[in-house]
Amino acid sequence: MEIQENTGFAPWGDPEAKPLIRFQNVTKRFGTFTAIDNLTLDIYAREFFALLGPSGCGKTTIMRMLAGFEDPSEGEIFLDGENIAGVPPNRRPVNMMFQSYALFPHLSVWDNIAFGLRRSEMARDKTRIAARVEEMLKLTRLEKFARRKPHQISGGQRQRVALARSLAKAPRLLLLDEPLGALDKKLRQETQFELMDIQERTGTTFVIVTHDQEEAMTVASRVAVMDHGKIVQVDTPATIYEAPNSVYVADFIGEINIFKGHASPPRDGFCEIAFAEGLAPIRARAPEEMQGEAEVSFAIRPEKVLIGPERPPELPEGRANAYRGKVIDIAYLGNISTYHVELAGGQKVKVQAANTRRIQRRTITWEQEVWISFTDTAGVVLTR
Amino acid sequence: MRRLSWFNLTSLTLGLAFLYLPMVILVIYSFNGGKLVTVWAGFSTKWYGELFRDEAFLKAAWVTLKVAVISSTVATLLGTMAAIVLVRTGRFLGRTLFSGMIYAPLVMPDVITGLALLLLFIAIGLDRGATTIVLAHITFSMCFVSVVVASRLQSFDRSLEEAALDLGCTPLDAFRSVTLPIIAPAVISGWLLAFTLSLDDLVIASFTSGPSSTTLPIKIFSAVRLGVNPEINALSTIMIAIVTTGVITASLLSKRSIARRAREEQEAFGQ
Repeated sequence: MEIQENTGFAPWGDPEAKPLIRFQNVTKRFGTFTAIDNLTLDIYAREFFALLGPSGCGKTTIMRMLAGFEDPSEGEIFLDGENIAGVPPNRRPVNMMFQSYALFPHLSVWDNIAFGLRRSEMARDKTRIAARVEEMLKLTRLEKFARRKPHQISGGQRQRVALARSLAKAPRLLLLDEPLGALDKKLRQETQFELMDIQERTGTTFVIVTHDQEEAMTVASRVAVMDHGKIVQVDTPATIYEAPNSVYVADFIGEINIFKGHASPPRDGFCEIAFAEGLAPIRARAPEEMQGEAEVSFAIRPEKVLIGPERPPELPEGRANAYRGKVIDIAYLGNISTYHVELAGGQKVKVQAANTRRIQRRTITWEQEVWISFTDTAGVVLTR
Repeated sequence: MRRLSWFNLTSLTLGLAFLYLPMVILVIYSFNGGKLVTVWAGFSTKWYGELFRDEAFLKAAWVTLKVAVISSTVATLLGTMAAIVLVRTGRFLGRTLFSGMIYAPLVMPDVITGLALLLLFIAIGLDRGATTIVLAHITFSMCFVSVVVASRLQSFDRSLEEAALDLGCTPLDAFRSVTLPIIAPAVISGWLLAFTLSLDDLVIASFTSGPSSTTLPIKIFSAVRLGVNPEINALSTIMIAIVTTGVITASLLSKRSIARRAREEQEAFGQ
């Protein structure tokens, strides 16, 4: 299932498009440990591609293979159709922004940005280097700090110096290793939009490594969710969120309720999932690959579940799932509240509702009997 | 300022006296006018004059300085290289043996190092003189340099070097333009350490020196054996003055740079 987005940019859907980067059956081993397991992946020019996964899933290894610090044990990596195995980092049209920023402490901001240019084909042309550095300083709004040393500027400014330095040589591909990890939350959110803006203006292909799913969703055109050296799903953020292909992805991205159960054979594209003794089965859209009955997981996001003191009358009869339960916990987050509801069979369900009214006027409280409901297309049935 | 309690005051006085009383007495007697070291015969600077007219002492001082500069420079070069191999190359066959062998001279008694070197020089037929002292000093001070530089390299962020490679440096260029400037303080203090060790080494130098070249420590030691002479007091006072000036200058410089850094950081975050 593909969730439609109105961005217009989708080279991955075009069979004619040539990828900028192609991983072909790449495996990387460190001793007996397999960091990357038979990876095949295409990344297209001008993409903002996110590698997302828990630490140790191999995302950093992919990045280091692109930068040239590691070579694949098996398989090939192509950049613009050329195999780049064995090409040292200094000869690749690829630059990297390091997690620690790796700013040279003995050089000023200006010299940090000029460092790569002085070792490029414009090495002899001092005026061109100066012009390019000024351009980068302007792009990252650092003009005032050009003469400072890295220890004389704040964390957010250091992050921008690192970005300016890695963009100065106008690389074909920019790698960002947890670029915002060291910033506090508010600054991180601002910087995410700044990164997207800079990516769009320079037209550079960005590959970002992150363990923060919110960050990946915000900045990326496509997200690859990784687990133990394998890519589990590559899709647009909306597809990853609304149509995860497995319990792992569903659980990794955002909050979700999982009902494990036994599904009946699909009829007219819908199946019924029996998940608890004495409760009506969940009616849900069956995935295309499902034939006959199967053990499945039904996954539904908390904000797709409605909660109310009575059985909701407005839902179409026969297409809705509704259950009685008891509120056992309420987490008040200001704009929304999360209700933890326990159903008769003991299954716990998280429900999120926007707080459109002020607190005194809300009716649901602890220990209250409530109804939760959702339509037959609100969740997904996962077979793995 | 807080007032010191009488207990703290006493222990401070006793401690300082224990450390510095001998030196103070030495400095005072260096201005003694008389020939006898322990009998005060009025203030005079005549022994300083005598010292600067004594050819043998001046020659020994010159040899010492030459040996110290050459040996500490070569030791710094070799010691830094050894440190890089130890910290950077990761595991290789014989790494443990190699690191053990580099650090062994740290704990080896000087007498044994000196004797071993003497036997080596005799075996290969090398005439003893300034060259053999230089070689011997390189051997034993190299490991000190290597310890100092290795500890700095261990805390060095490898991604700085990777960033340099990523931005177009060859590995050699990356070392020259990023790693070396950053570890420079450790390399310099390694050099200073090697220099000091060479300056005051008596045991190894006496094994490896020849009749043509005597270092200052050997000269002083042999002069003292014939009886302490006021000239030695004068010489020692000069050495104390040099060392004190060096230490005070170094501490003032580092204090100033720390203060400047703190001020600059405050400015950066204050805006």
